[in-house]
Amino acid sequence: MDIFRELVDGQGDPVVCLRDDGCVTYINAAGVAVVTAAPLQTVKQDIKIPSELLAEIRRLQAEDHEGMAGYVSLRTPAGLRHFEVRVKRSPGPDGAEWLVLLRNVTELRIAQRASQYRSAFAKLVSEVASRFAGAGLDEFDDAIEESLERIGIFAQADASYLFQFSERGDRMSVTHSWSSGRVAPLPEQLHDIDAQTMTWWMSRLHRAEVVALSSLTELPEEAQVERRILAAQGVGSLVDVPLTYKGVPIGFMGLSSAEEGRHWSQDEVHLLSIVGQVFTNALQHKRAEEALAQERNLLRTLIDNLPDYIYAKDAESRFILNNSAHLRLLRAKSPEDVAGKSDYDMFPRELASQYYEDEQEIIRSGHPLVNREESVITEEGERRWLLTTKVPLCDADGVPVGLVGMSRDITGRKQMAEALETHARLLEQANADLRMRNQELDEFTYIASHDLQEPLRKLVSFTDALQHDMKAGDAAEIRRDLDIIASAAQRMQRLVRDLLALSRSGRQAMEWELVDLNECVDLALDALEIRMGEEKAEFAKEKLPTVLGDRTLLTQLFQNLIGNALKFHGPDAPQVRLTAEEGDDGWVLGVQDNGIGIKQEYSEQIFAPFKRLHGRGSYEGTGIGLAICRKIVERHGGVIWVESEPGKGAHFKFSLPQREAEQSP
Amino acid sequence: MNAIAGKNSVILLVEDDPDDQELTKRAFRASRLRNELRIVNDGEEALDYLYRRGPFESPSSAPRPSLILLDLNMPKLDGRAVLERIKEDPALRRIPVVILTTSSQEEDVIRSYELGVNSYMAKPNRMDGFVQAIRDLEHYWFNLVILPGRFS
Repeated sequence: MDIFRELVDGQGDPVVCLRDDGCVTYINAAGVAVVTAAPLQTVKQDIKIPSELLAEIRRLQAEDHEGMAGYVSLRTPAGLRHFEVRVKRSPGPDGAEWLVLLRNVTELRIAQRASQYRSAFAKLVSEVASRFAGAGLDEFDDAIEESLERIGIFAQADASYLFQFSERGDRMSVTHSWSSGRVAPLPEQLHDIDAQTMTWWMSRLHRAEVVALSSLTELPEEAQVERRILAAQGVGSLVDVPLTYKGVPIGFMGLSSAEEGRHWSQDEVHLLSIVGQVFTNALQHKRAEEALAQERNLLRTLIDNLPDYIYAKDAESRFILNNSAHLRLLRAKSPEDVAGKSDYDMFPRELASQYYEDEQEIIRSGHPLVNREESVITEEGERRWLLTTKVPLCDADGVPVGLVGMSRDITGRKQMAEALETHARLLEQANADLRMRNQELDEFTYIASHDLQEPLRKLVSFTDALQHDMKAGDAAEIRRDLDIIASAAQRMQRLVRDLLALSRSGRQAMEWELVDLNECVDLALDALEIRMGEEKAEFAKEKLPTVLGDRTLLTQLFQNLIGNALKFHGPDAPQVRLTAEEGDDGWVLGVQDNGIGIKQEYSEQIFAPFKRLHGRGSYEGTGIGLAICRKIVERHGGVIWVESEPGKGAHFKFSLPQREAEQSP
Repeated sequence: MNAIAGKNSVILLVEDDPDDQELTKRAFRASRLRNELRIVNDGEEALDYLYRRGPFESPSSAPRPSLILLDLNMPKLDGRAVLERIKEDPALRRIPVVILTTSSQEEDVIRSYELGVNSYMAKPNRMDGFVQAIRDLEHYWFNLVILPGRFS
């Protein structure tokens, strides 16, 4: 028996013998250590089995589960310990009926608990992380709130919360929180607070230190503000973990409990750190997305409100972006109307292929095309002028993958420039006209002073001669004087008449119409009929064209030229032939004769007014007919010239350039 | 007396206007000039005369004139061109040339003197004036001035 007792006494696990009434008849040293601190010998009879243990023993006895194991947790002088309990009916000395064996399984239980915690922790973290992985930006706030609730409950805390610092770190706000109700929800005034009001707290968090308080009493003197706020919420203890992104503090998250004296372990810190990292990533992602969206919005607003056309195209010159102005130009109702389309879908083929080639060259060479003036035809068929710059659009490696185009509508400017140019041209034309008129006026003045003076002078001189001859009574001389006076007066008359004709041929408004030149020639021949008969002239003509011109002037032109051909005939009867050749730029018409001809050196001056090649004695006329001819031809935009040799006849030719009907003034 | 003031020395009138020819003839008659007046109708004829060409081939039909009265405005070759030709030609340039014209334009006067004309006269309007002018002309050229003689 002593050997048994010694054996049992030395056993590391507690062993207890009980009577039916629960009195301890035996307890070994390990058992004593569990139930009491008192020494075994002295207190054996008074040993009271702890109620939790007794309840478990009674349960096992009642169920008569001999050999079955029960469990109990006991608060021992060494702390909380967990035991496996086995009960065996075993009558023994002192009326003992039951043998109770306890086995300390504390370490096992701790290990099990830790393992359970770890798997729950892992599950929680993975669920939190996956909650974010699948969430859109707009769900992030809900996801954070939900996650805070879950970690609050998991950590058996009464509140969980997330604070974020402002960009500059000088202010902070509680952005998300959860409360079990035992701690007051975080108040509104914790929004956008000056970090300076909680310097102690802030300085620790900015240094990325964990703040763990079992009690608010642990707060130092300088943290009065913090203590007041926390106390007002009913916070007994808390743990806060800083959040950093790339080493910069961006906020903190924490757990608090109404319970005073709660010890915050590494588990909570770890939990907060891991979830905090998930939050940080999500928040940074959100911030980046928001910044990007904002920037995109800013750029979009900018390009959509520019009056210039802005667009981007892919490597195949298909539209990938168009601003509002460009969509309007293309008459597209929405960006989808043009996205993926090319210029071939918008513009005439010729224009589109020019653009396409330009753009492909830009993409190929990487060289931009700067300030090229080009025109487009809108869907209404209106031509617009654009000042276009196209630059290659490169990917991150600098390889061109498309292009960006910017075009400014310069149609207004262009039209103004064109109008100015037209204006300048008209002005230049008007100036040239004016110069010509001036020159004509000069010529006219010269003519008035010389050619009109001539007959006047004769009138004066021969009136003197007449008086002299009358005194002398020389009848023959008198008759001669009178003849000269009469002819001078007639010449004067004719000069004035011809001058008027010349002036009229230059000034009279032209009536542009389609004129059959055959009709003009018929009219001219009618007027010359008598002289044609007198001179026994032969006349021939080719078929003449119909041209745009002034009927009266063209008739006069033929009449003058045919008249000259009749006048300057040689010894033979005049032969007059009309010629017509079609040239590159309209018609060249001619009047050919077999008359006396003209030396080459006089072929220019004969067209000047009052230039006569012959003395008054040989041929009639004032020398104004060809001047009128030149004027008429010039007014039709043509030139007149003569091809001739003395004695071999003359061929007067003039050109009538083709005119488009709408150009006629 | 002047070396060239031969009694029958010839004056050549170059004038296209038949009335002016008539007028000049009358003025010569009225002023009782002894010089013979020869008349050609234009510039070309004047050069034909001076170079004895065409109808003037025989020396008797075109005696060398002692003075040329030259009109400026004529058809074909005008007086300016004739003057230029005469003054260019060493054989003719010694013959005094007097422009007798209706033009009193400064441009014509300057141009003529530049070409080497010896005198420039505007035709007087009145008959008396014309007669007097011809007389003065004769007196000046045949009595007053000394000209190189026909030594050649």
